[in-house]
Amino acid sequence: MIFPPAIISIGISGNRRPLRLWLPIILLWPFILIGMLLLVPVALITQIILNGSIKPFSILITLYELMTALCGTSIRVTAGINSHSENVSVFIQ
Amino acid sequence: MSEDRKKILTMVAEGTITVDEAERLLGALGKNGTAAEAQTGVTGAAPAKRQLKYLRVVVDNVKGDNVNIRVPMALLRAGLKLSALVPPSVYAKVSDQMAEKGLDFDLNAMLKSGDIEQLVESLGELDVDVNSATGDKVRVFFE
Repeated sequence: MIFPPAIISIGISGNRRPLRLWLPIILLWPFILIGMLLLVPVALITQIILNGSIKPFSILITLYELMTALCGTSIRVTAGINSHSENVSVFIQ
Repeated sequence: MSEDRKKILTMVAEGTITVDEAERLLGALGKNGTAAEAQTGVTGAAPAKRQLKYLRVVVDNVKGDNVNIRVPMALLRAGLKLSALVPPSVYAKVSDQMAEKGLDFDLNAMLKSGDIEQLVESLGELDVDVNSATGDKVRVFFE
């Protein structure tokens, strides 16, 4: 079983006091699970009404895959301002 | 019986190679051609595939502005998979609109679920390296 990301780490450093934030998105997992469960009957109804022209269950599964695939994403931006530099980094794990 | 097969069987008889090794060599011989190729595993053998994990975008600016982005391949795969789930009627409309703008290709045919893996694998060969006259560098590659 592959799980969605658990923590988003945001770091800002530069001339000012460095800032490091760990956002525990693991706390959102129960809400994601509830949301997914609520979407199941919606998907079922959509499937019946649209008679298979759209695959709502496949879309749900792929959306979950999309969420889990975010693990390992990393963005680092450095801005060189005059003699010093500002760094912003975002890491999803 | 070919000369190569005879050679392999002789090697088994002499005890130079085991029966299992001979079986592998004979199997490879059937696929690739010569016994020498099969034995060395160098010529004619397909190169080992790299396991690509991330798409990297690196931007280096002479003024010190840098961007370093790492996107997991799984995210690309999931994104392509999601786009493949769009109904064909929608693709037809999109393709028509794109054709009007001069981009004439069939999105529906391009994003069939079976082709996604092939598409992602072939992306591994992609390496974009841009160097500007001012010294700025942009590199897009897979690792």
